[in-house]
Amino acid sequence: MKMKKRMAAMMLGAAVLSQLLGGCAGSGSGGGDQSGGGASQSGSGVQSGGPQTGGVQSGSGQGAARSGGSGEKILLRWALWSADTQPYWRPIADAYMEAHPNVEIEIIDLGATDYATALQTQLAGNDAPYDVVAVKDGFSFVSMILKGLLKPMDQSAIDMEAYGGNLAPLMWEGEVYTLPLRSDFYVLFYNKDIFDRAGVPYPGNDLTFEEYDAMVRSLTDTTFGSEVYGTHYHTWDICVQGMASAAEDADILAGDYDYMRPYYEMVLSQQDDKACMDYSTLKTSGLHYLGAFGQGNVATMLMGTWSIGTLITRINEGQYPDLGEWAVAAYPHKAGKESGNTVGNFVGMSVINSSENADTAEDFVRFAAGAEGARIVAEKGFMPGMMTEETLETIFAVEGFPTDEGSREALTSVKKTVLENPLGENSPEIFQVLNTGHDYIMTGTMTVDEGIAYMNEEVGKIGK
Amino acid sequence: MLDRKTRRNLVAYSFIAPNFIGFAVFTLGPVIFAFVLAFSQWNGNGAVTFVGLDNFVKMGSDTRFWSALKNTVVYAVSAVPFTMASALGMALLLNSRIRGKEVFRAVAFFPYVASIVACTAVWNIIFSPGAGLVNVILNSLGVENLPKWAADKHWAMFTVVTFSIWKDMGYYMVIYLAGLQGISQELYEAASLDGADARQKFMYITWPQLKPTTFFIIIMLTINSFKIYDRVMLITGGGPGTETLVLVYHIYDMAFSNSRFGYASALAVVLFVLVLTVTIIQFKGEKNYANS
Repeated sequence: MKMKKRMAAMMLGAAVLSQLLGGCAGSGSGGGDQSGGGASQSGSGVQSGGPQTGGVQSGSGQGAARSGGSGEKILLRWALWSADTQPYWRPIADAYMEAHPNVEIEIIDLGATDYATALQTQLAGNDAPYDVVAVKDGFSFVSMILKGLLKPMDQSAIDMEAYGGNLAPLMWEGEVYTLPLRSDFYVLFYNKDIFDRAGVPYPGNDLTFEEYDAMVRSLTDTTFGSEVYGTHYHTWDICVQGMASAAEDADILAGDYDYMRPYYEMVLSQQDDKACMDYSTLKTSGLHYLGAFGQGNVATMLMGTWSIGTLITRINEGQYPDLGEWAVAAYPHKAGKESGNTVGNFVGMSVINSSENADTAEDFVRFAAGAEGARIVAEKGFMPGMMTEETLETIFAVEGFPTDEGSREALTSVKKTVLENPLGENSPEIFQVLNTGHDYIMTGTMTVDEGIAYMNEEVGKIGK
Repeated sequence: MLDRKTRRNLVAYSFIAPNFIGFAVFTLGPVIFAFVLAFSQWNGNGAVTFVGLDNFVKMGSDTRFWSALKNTVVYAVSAVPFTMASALGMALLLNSRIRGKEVFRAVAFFPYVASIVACTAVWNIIFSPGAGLVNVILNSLGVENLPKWAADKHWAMFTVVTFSIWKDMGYYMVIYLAGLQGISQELYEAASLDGADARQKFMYITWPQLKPTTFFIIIMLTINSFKIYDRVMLITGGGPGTETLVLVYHIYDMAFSNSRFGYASALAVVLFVLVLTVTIIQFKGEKNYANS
């Protein structure tokens, strides 16, 4: 009897152990014997061509099969973020699969908040859990290049000219590691209703910072209960530092930040006079910049063009009933200089170095960031990396997109875009210091001079 | 054929194996790896380069590290005694014969089980520099130069510590309640017969009898204080500047934002040594305290 009990216990223990190890093996080996859809987690992970098929994986994708059950089909695993809220990812994948029936694209959504961290964690270890990755920011992009994770692309197969000035700032040591799917830049959003009520003429596309400062002050109303903020700055360091960098044509990684002084002084003065919301309050409340602009009591906001598509979507959803009519103007410029400088960022498409289907992956990247992908991105109201006359007309045809002459000119007259996160080996550490300095200055913990001295000193130490 | 003893041992091992394998893979392995990395340079991919004590030397000139170390110690020194005192006070109150004490106990315990994200969001609304409840009340009382709380150099740590006390005291109150209920009523009856008042009963019966509980709470609070990260991230983001940056936050930044896994591991080793030292001192202190 005792022996039987022991045997039963041993079998139970062994069963638990084998389950555990079996589970580990299942998630670690790649599940190469999948026969249905090719992805092991949900069975619906492979996109089959129909739009919005709900095949997004929220997991790691580690267990996805290298090739699908349909034999010759090539499976491309594409890591990205916000698959359900960024409306162009799936249509791009669908369009490519339609044009290439032998390819299946599995979308793996790593979420937007910690995308860069999640992606690099997934890529650690040199096995290739993905073939194609979307690049969200300059820091993680450089980090992936330095780690040897990204494949330099064949430049002879890329129409480099078609990207205008959008590709050159993304090149690293003469190589193309990413192609811009989207290329956004900062503009001046403005609420026409507030301008009309205040009797202030709409901003032109040749506004100096002095004129901008005077304008936002003339739009400000501090009457209790009916406050109007002349402008709005989100809490990002780039909202002031990028402004200074673009206006002064300065390299933000260079380590001398004295040129930022007048811009900090302008913003702090506006804050003191309640021409903009208080940084500390915004920081602790976590108010989204579109939420602030959408309230209808913010006259202007310097923000990226990525907001346009989201703003249109939210307005269509009825989220901002008090906003009224809005438009965009060009980013202000320094007096004595030409207009056309602005701050910007990009969404890139890159190929993983160790991908077994690197050639197909590269072809897909050229497609996504090429004319076809650009058309799809533009159709959804976002600024594509490859901007042509056709894509411009497409984007202006989007319902809700500001189409007045001023807005059209603002969106087509950019001459130079300073990257929000310029590419550099030490840029994450430098931006950590700049972010801290920004926080010190904007909360009043340090004076402008002290904050700039802090940034100069701390950035000076980096890399030494 | 295996003998009886071996078979019996195998049965036992088979039962502990799932847990031990999990521990080895997800805890022991990474801990050993972290110790190796502390003396290396590694960006998360590719080769690990041995650099000796370089990472530890670099800490000397890392101003963020010194800020984080100072802030972590300040947090621990502030949060541990106040959380403990609040928990004890609450436990004493809710151990007495008051009406509806079960409800009060549940209310006191609630912050501990509530989502920290939701709690910090509400906390930041209450302590909002603009129209937060606290500043509205202070303003109505005629206070000028209102603090910006989480965004104020002088008040940010206070805001985090106050939150921690509120969030954690319910849990430690329950532990104290259990300790209080383990004290024999006969001791109090005897003290009453000898004419002891409430203060004397607390000083000579309750407090000494609660020594083991207090020791446990201090150890747990101290270790948790040095590991603090989530609430700082959610309330202040380490700011303003680096005024509330703590060690774990710095470790996370170095590892996952800067891909400096070697340096981050060295920081983690420093944190480990710090916690170990404090715990050893506390253990020694407890022995002396118990013998006194």
